[in-house]
Amino acid sequence: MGSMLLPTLRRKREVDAAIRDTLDKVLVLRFGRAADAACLHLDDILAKSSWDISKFTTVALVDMDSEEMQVYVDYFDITLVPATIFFFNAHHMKMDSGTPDHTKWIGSFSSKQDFIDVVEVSGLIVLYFSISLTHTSLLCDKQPHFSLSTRPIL
Amino acid sequence: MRGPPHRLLHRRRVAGVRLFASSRARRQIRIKRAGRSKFGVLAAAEKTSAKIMASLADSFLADLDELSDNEAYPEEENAEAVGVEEIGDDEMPYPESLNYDDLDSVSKLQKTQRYSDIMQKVEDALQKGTDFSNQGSILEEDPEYQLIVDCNALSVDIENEIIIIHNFIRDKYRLKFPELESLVHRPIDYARVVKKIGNEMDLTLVDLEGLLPSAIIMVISVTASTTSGKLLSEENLVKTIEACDRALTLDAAKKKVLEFVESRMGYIAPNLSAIVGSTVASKLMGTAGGLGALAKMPACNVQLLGAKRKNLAGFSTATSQFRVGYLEQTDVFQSTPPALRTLACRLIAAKSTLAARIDSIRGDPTGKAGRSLLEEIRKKIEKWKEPPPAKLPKPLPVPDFEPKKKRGGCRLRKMKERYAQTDMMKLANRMQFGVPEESSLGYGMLGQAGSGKLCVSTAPSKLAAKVAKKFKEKSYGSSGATFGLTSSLAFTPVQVYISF
Repeated sequence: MGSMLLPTLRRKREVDAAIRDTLDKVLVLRFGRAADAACLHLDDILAKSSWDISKFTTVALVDMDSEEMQVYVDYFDITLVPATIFFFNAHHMKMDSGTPDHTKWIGSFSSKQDFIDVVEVSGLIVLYFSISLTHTSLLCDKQPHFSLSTRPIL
Repeated sequence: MRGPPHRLLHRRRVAGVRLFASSRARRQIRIKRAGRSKFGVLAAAEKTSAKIMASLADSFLADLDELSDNEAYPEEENAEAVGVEEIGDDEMPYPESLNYDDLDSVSKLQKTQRYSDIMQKVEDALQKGTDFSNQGSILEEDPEYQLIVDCNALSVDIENEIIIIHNFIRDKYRLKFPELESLVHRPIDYARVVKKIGNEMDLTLVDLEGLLPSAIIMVISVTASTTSGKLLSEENLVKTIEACDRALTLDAAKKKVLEFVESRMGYIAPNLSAIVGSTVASKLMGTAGGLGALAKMPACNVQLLGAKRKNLAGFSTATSQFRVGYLEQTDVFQSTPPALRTLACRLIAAKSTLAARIDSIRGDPTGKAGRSLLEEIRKKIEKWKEPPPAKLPKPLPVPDFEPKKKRGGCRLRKMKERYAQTDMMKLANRMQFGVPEESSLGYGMLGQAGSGKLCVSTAPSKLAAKVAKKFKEKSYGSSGATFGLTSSLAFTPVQVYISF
């Protein structure tokens, strides 16, 4: 099973270190509060899948309420809780998930498999094809459709 | 012309014939045969004992008609003995079943000087208690060691002697209770039972408790009620009981010798007795015939020293152990869980052989090597008892866009055939040019050409053949009795085709 406790990052330098030091692996940062219900649901899914995708993903939680994190909250313009941001090799990965905001994923996933799909496709398409925008429509009809738009990583 | 009376003879083949006539008549027959020429009847007796019995029986039954009462029995004893010898001459004597009338000619061990010397010394030594004054010196020069070597040889001799006496008792007692031999295997037990039963015909008066397991006692009582044996004559009985007594004394002597060896075991073979304990070590040494002989044996033989024969006689052998001998009685073995016992006995046999080899060259008089071997054995057994490590589920592999390696080969082709498109499906998918479809269900070319049926007569597909075969196997295999009742409709290939 191995649903390990996900590390919670509270300090700016921890977050910096995480983003910088995760090489060749997708880094998933969840911005949220421990009290929120949707957040907890998302956390549960993240925790359960973290062992399975551990070969190519690192998952971490960021607590939005600490002062040092406000910098990041402003930078990423996080208003709705929870929000998930994907990084790969210190690149911020943008995803079109049917909402106008491409920089992050709002809300929870409906199942563990959906999350794994998103991570797999987005992360490694970047790796192999150097493409940084992927279109995911998971919420619409429960079937993931992925299409790639060819925009090279800057 | 009769040859000089020599004692090699056997009565096995003749024994069967005795049952036909009364004992008096038997005596007469023997006299008659003694007088008869060797080459008459007996030449007819060829190789097989059945044939011998048949021809002899015939001749004896013929003889019974011309019997005359002959009172002088004691005089004829010599003739009897000679007569029996004659028979023995002509038929092949078995060298190992030396059957004398007299016990002393069979079992000579108790009369020998060597036996009495050693027994005397053993008695003395047992009285004296252990004496470890000679610990440092060379083993061979120690007089006690010599005594122990002699004891080992003597115990082997005693065992052989007991077997000979057992044969003797058995041959004598066969008149009375022939089935007993197959029920009670061990010679000592047999001797005890014979002594208890004596000349008794009714076994309910005999109490065999404690001598044998109760199941076997039951079988013996049942068999005794239907036995074909007759009462023994008085002097036969006396001889048999005497032989039993002798066997039992020999057994007691052997026990004493073993006891002595066991008490000295810590001195002779400290390493071996550190591993298996002094009782088992002395038994092993006794059976092997000395420490040197034990050291030369391969470990697989050591494992089997002292293994009992399986006691059949209709019992289930569900509790009969795998092959392990005296080592079964060691502490280490008894404390291992039953599932690991086979592995454990192999391990113990191996390590104890090593210890015996160390001891035979006196490599470690303190016994430290033996103790460390025992530790090794214990550690290994503990390791086996651990549960296997819990399996973690593997994390998903890094998603890879390499194409999967496709395998080929005829096995894969056969597998693919099971899911391949049948000809029917192919036809159903096609449509002819310019010809509209007949049915709206989309059967394409299937129902065409005025055939009027949905069947396609093509070569039988391999899939269909396979399915048919399986179906046949299943139902013919399970209900062979209802062969004639199964409907042949079930197996027509046509129906199988339709079920695509």
